[in-house]
Amino acid sequence: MSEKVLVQVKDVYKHFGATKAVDGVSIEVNKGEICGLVGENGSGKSTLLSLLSGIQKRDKGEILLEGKSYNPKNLTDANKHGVSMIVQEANTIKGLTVAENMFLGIEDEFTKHGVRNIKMMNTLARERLDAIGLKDINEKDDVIYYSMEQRKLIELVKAATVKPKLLMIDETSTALSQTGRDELYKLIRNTKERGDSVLLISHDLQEVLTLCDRIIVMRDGKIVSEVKSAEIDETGLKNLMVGRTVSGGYYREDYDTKISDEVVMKVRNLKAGKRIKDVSFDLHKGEILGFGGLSESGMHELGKAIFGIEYDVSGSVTLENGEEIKTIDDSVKHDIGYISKNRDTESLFNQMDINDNIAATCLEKIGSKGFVTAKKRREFADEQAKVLSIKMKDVEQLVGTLSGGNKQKVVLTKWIARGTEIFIMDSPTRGIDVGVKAVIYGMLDDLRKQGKSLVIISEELLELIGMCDRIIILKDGEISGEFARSKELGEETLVQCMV
Amino acid sequence: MKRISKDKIFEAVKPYLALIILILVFAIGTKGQSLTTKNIKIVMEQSMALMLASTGVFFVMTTGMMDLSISGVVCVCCFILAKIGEINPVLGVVMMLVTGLLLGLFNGVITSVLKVPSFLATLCTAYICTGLMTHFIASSAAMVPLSLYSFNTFGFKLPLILALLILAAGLFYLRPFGHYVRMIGSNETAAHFSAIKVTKIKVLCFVINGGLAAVAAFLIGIRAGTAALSTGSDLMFNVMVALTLGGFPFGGGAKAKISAPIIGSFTTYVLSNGMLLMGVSSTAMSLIKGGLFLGIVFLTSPTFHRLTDRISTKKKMSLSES
Repeated sequence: MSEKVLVQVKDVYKHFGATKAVDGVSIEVNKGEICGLVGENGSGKSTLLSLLSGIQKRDKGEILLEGKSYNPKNLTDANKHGVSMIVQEANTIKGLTVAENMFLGIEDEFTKHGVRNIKMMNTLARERLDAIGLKDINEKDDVIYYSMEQRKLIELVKAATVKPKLLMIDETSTALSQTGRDELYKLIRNTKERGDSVLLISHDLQEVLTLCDRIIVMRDGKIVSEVKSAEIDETGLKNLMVGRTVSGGYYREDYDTKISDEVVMKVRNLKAGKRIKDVSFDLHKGEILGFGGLSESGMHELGKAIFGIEYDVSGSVTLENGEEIKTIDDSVKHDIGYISKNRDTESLFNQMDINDNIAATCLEKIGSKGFVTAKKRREFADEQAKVLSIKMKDVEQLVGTLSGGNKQKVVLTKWIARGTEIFIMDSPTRGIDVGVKAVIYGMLDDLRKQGKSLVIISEELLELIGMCDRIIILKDGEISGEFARSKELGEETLVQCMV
Repeated sequence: MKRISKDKIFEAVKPYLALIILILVFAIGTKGQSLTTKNIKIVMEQSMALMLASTGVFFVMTTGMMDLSISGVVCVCCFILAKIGEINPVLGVVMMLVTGLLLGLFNGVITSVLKVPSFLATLCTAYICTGLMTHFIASSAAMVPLSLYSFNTFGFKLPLILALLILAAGLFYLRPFGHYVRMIGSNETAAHFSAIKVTKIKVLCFVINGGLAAVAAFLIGIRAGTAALSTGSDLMFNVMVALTLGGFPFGGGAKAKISAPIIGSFTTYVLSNGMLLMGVSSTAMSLIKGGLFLGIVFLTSPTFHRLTDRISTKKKMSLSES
């Protein structure tokens, strides 16, 4: 084996029951290389990384780290071997302070005679936070006070602290705003310059192409291709991932559709919580209205406020007929649906069946005389699951066992099945691969054509530009710009408005 | 695929299997004594109150909350039945039911509206109940009116239990309410965001729990004839044992089945009765029940599953190597 190979994965298997998550994979990562790992949802990328980081144990096969057999027991053990990972979902522990989270697993370094020197830990944490300009994160605070994005940044600092030989990043950029992404990219490049390696999973193919030296494509638990980034473009990658030619762009193609004059929802002087200061807008029938901004701009809270979730709201949200929306009950009664950014924690019943999830908001509708039989629910869900062709065994499969994209389809189906007229979607394609993304964009366009109104909140500007009739940019809780749909509209124009 | 469905089936029949095995073990252990008609009838009668009480707690626990007040509530209900029953038996029964429902409502409001963690809230309710009883009953027990003894027949109790359990099962499986209960147990935030009236449903669960506890108190009262401080005191633990033996998932409500309290209650008394017939002392019985409870909770816990996973993976790995 040559000197420059850091990790060697040899014919590794990991099956979950009948699901072959990783099915005979062999890869090599060289020292000082940034290696991209792409593939559709459920192709086995995350599982492969979890085998390397000790979160899961492989069924079969061998992994060599610098030529030596490598069998990590858990994340901390992997850290000791110089392998660290930033996982897809937040991995910070609530109830511990920022500093404690940063030095998790290596607290011993601060311990003398059984007493931990918390002051030293805090000082060191402060230095590192300052070093990358995270001034508004206090090292003594419980992480619970920080947003998903800030927690991700804390993890980044943590990963940078360890200076790992192999840094693995699982789909992190979608949770980050532009500044956060820049930090991430800096961390990746620094790692490379140090002569260490990076293994990066991302659904943002442009990002993968710019950052990585080499890209490994996975499909159905197998490696289908390995390419040099310089030798391929985005379309080529997509084709490799899906295994067939993906036609054209997956966004809307029309540019001259006129928005109806009919206003279905009026929002006036909305003020909510700490983030939203003063927002007013109209939503028209059959319109896709986009909201963009930095993640602290208040746009995520805006979705919740319109739907009636946020407390401490002033201003008004009124419907066509003058009725006011104040609670979730009002919203759902008037056919408004909300799709949360946090699928697993706020939208899904993961330990329940697909049919339970789909029927969640329509139980009273599908029942007769207040009774709902299991059969009725199944039939109803069967019918509805076809609309978005959810990939599943049957409607009695547990939602928790589905891939991210299919989970999102279930959430969408839940609201479509109810006959929702106004959709409020927060980051509808977050962490979802190209294949499912295309299906969801198609569905959004169909809903629009059916005369439904959609509010889309997204951190992906290209998605907003591609899908929306109008885009409103929020900055510090207020509207800082509004743009009509046009071919000429570019990301830069929007970004200028955001910061 | 096949393996998964097999696991599912095994999971579903496990509580019944446990019951059958226990029945067989005791049948052999007592040389058939446990299988006489008279004894079977005794076990069924004993388990009735527990069935109702644990079905009530089942609703509460399916939403992800806990009820530690069941013993106290039953004791208070029984006392009301005896005291007011002295004046008028019918009024006594009505007031007993009202008391049960009100105590349930109290628990529900404290936990769901005022958001006091249910562990603490219901523990306090239990203490309040015990305090009240110590004050009123003092040392001598209150007598349940004689006229109510006539209801202590199999012919009255069995249909009553069946009717209530069928109602509960219908509520749980066929009414949207039951689905909402499970959804809240699975993910309360998602339930809230799906416009499910979480607070109302949680309060209702406690009210149902209180109502069923009151009926359980009635059955205990007319069997024992008195309302004493010790009335229902073993119920709290028996409910936990029953739910465990019945296969109730302590981790979360989504997979809860209403057969758990019903089968589990019966199993609990088959166990007690069998041990009694075999001459096991009551102290030893508590010991065995407690151990069993711990054992089953451990066997169904994630820790244990991880342990077995590790062992089976190791086996697989060594197989593939050789």
